[in-house]
Order: sequence, then structure tokens, then C-alpha cells
Amino acid sequence: MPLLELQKLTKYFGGLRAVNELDLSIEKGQIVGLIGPNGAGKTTAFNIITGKFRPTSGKVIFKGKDITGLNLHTIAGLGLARSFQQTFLFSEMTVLDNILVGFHLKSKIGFWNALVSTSSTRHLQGQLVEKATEIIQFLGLEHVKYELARNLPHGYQRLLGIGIALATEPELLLMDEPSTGMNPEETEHLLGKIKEINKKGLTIFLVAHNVRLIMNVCERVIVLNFGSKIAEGTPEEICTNSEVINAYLGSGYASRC
Amino acid sequence: MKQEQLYKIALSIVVLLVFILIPVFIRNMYQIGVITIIMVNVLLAASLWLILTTGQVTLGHASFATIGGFMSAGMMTAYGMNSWLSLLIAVVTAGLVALVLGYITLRIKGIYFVIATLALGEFIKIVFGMWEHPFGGLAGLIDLPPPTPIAIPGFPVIQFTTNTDLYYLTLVFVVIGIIILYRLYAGPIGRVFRSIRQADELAESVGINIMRYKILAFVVACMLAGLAGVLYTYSTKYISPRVLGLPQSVYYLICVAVGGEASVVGPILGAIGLGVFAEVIRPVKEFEPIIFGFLLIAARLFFKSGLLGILQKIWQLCVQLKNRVISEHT
Repeated sequence: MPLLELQKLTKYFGGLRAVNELDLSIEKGQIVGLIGPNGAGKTTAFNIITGKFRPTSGKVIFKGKDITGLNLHTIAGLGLARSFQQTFLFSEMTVLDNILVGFHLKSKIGFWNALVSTSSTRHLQGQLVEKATEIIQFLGLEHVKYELARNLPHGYQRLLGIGIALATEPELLLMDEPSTGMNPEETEHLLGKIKEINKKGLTIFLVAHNVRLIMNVCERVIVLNFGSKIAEGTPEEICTNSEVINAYLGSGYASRC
Repeated sequence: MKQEQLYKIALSIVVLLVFILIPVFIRNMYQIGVITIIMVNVLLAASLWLILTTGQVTLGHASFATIGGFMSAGMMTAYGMNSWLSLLIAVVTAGLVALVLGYITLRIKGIYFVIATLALGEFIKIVFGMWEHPFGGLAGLIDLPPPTPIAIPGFPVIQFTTNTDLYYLTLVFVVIGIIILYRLYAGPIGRVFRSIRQADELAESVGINIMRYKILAFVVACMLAGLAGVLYTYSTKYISPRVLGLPQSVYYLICVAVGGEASVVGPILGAIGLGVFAEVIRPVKEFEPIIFGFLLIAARLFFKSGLLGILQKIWQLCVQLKNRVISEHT
């Protein structure tokens, strides 16, 4: 059973067809890439999968369950997490607090135990702080742990965004252009981190414009153009696909794959 | 951090003692009455603040005090109900109305929510104005009875006839309300509220049901506003649809803006500060709206963290001074 399956997913915004009968499936443990020119429908597809938009038609099936049309927080609770193309962060909170918010579903917050702090709630808080610290150390943000998110340099902010998604302890992570604004060094670091979290068992569905990143990290790549899937295969197959080269890559890349 | 906690608790106890001892030093009944109303406004500003922490600005907060005041006054005058049951009904009614209205309007964000709350406030005013019985229609209800005396066997009967009695009654409820607000915000739920205000789509994507938490803040805040409305009627012995309306809702917002938003202490400082200031400028009362308007703008432009921020800076300077004095002498 594939972890994520899209069946004839279609989305119209009024007269504009953003996603056209998209079929795809992702198996557990894979790293799959989604590429295509701007406006191809990649972020829209992500938004439909995570529950922000309802598709006009088609289905999203996660772990064998139809999650089409469920809302954002319910889907997050099922083990599907997402990092964003824009840098959304809890800007007035520290890095540590940002990650702790990500652990919301694990923190058993109730109205009454918020009013009266018991030793069991304090113990649970302590455990979550430990887990959050692990994520912070993993991403290399230990030295800015108590810094406010809005004061971080851009590359760290992107990493923090990924950290918040990781805190939900997902089975599938959708990453929407994680390397935007990162310099080559930061991108290299990110590449390593993606491979590491995949080795720990997290399935990754990745949108990126950085072709080198995609080719290095993904075992399969899906190419979108004007809302339709135009190609699917291994990085090598995609690189040499003439339609992909015409629509997106350009002939310069084909020689570098 | 433990030491900071102790300082806070100690400071709170000192402040509480000051408030408990006020009637010992101030004998003028008019002034006691003014201070009682300031306490009611503290509860209204502080409860409004809780809603603001989730990123929703409301211009209809006073209307929940109206609901509370009318339900209590109406039950007592029309049905002769004792005041404690009326109080319970008042608070529960405010909560239920908040639940229904919140469920409808909290989906709306930003400026549109503000407009919606403004409209709802006016709507509530009109609704209460329509009923002659038991709410007295547009004229409202006057000569309200005092709270029902409490008779615990073995103790002297507690009456609520003088302004001082009403002051202590108000103080007890306001302190309880503030403790609830403080504990709610200081715990993990406060972090959830802040996360909704700072990045609501991100909060949802980590599994936070933002509607549920916005409604929670709204209902708790409106129930406390209802309670404040009841306390208000105990002191003024009068309620009408116009008494707690839009100008008052704006006033509570100014209290939060001037006092500071970082914690529940902000609106408390704002309400007390502005309450005292309003009494001081009584001779030029006609200019009060203009002056308060200026204060609001000045707060937003020049001291965004409010009186609370100013006090915190002073505290930091004192600590720095103390440290420097200590290091110079060792």
C-alpha cells in the first residue's frame, strides 16, 4: 500500500485549471521530488494534500485512508507534515518555543491542567523540551536556541521551519522549496539533513527549483507543467526526457545530469 | 527562573495587601465607589486582553458585560431571585452567547472581525432594549437590590449594603478572574494562543485546531466580562442598554494598549492608570475622549509595550544599578 496516493486530482480556481487529473503514488521510505516551472501547480498540489484547499475532483489517500477535504489540523494529526515555501515562523518566540509549538499534538493540553500545573504535566513538558532540543541539535541550531525567530538569518529560519514540521513526528513530510534563499553551503547542509531524516524512516515529498538538490536526493522525480504530469521517473530518466528539457530544464542541464 | 517566580508572587501579595487595606485609609464613600468601578474595569480590560492574545480584536466586549448585568438585574427584579443564582445565570448566559457568536464570527479574520464584533455589540444593545419585561426596555432597570446577604451558620451574616462591602466583594471576584486569566496564559495554552496570533496557518499545520482555541479564549473572556457586568450593577444599582456600549469597549482597548499586552499585568496597569487619570482630569471632563484618543495614539507610536514595558525597563535599570554598586564595592 503506498503511503500517499493522488487519484485524478483536479483543481480549478474559477476558470483556471491549476491541477489536472494528477495521479501519483509515494511508497513509504522514498524521497520523491516534484519539479516544474513556476505556476505548474506544485504548491497547489501540496495545499490540496495538506487540506488547505478542497480539490474540484479526485482523491487524496494517505495510509490507505481517504483524507480528501479533511481540514489542516486533522491531517497534521494523521502524520502528514509540511514545510512552507514562504517563511512562516512564530516570529516573537524563541527557536525552542517554536519547536515546542510543533509538539502540540503530543502535549496533552487541557483547560483544567492548564489552570493547575501538576507534576505529571511538568514531567511531560520536560520530556518535550528534551525532544525539541534533539531536533534543534540535529539541525545545527543549538547556538541560537534562545534567539527570537525573527532575529535569525534567513538560512536558519528555513531550517527552523523544517524543525517545526519535524516536531509533529510525521510519517510523510512535504517540503515546499526548502532551499529558497540558501547559499550553496547551506543547501549542501540541508541536503545532508534530508538524507538523514529519510534514513530514520521519514518519507519525503520535495518541491524544489534547485535541480542539483533534486537529482542528488530524490530516487524518483515527478514533473508538472501547467497542472499536468508530463514525466515521471528516476533523476537520470527525467534529465534526458526531451519534453522536460523543453518545458523546464533547458538543454544546459541535460549535459550536467 | 525560580527566583523570578518568588519575586512575582511576593510582589502580587504586596499589591493585594495594598488593595485590601484601601478602605482603611480612604473613608470617602464616593472614592471607594470610584475605586470599585476601576476594579470592574480591570476585569474587563484583562478579559479583553485574553481575546487579543489570539490575534482577534473585538469592539463588542462591553456588550457581554451588558448581558451579564441585565441577566443578573432582570432575574433579581422580575423574579425575586437571589443574587448568587442570578450571578451564575448571568455568567453562563454570557458564555453561551459567546459560544454561539464566537463559533460564527471567529472564522473571520482581521478588520472584518472587528466590524462584525462592532455590529454584534449594537445588536445585543437593541435586543435588550426590546424587552420591557424583565429588562426594562430602553430605560433599563433602576433601584437594583444589593447582593443577597450570605448566612453561614456560626458566622455573622455578611451584608452588602455599604460601598466598602461592595468594594471587597468586587475585589474578590476580580482577583479570582485575574488568577484564571494568568494561569491560562502562563501555561501551554498561552503559547497556543500566541502561536495562533503570530502565524495561524503554521499553527494549524502542526495540528492546532485554531477555531477551538479562539473560541476558548473568547468564551472565557466573555464569561468574565459578564461577571464584571454583574459587579458593575451591584455598585451602580442601575443598568440600561446604553451604559456599557461601544465607547466602553473602546476604553477597554485603550487600557490594554496603554498598559501593555505582554501579560495580564498590562491591562491591569492600564485600567488602574487610566481610571485614576480620568478622576484627576474630572475638571476638564469634556476633553476626556480627546485626551484618551491621544494616549492611545501615543502608546501605539512611542511606547508599544505600554506601562508594563516602561516598568520592566525601570526594573532592569534598578537591577543593573544594583549590580554595578555591588561590583564597585567588592
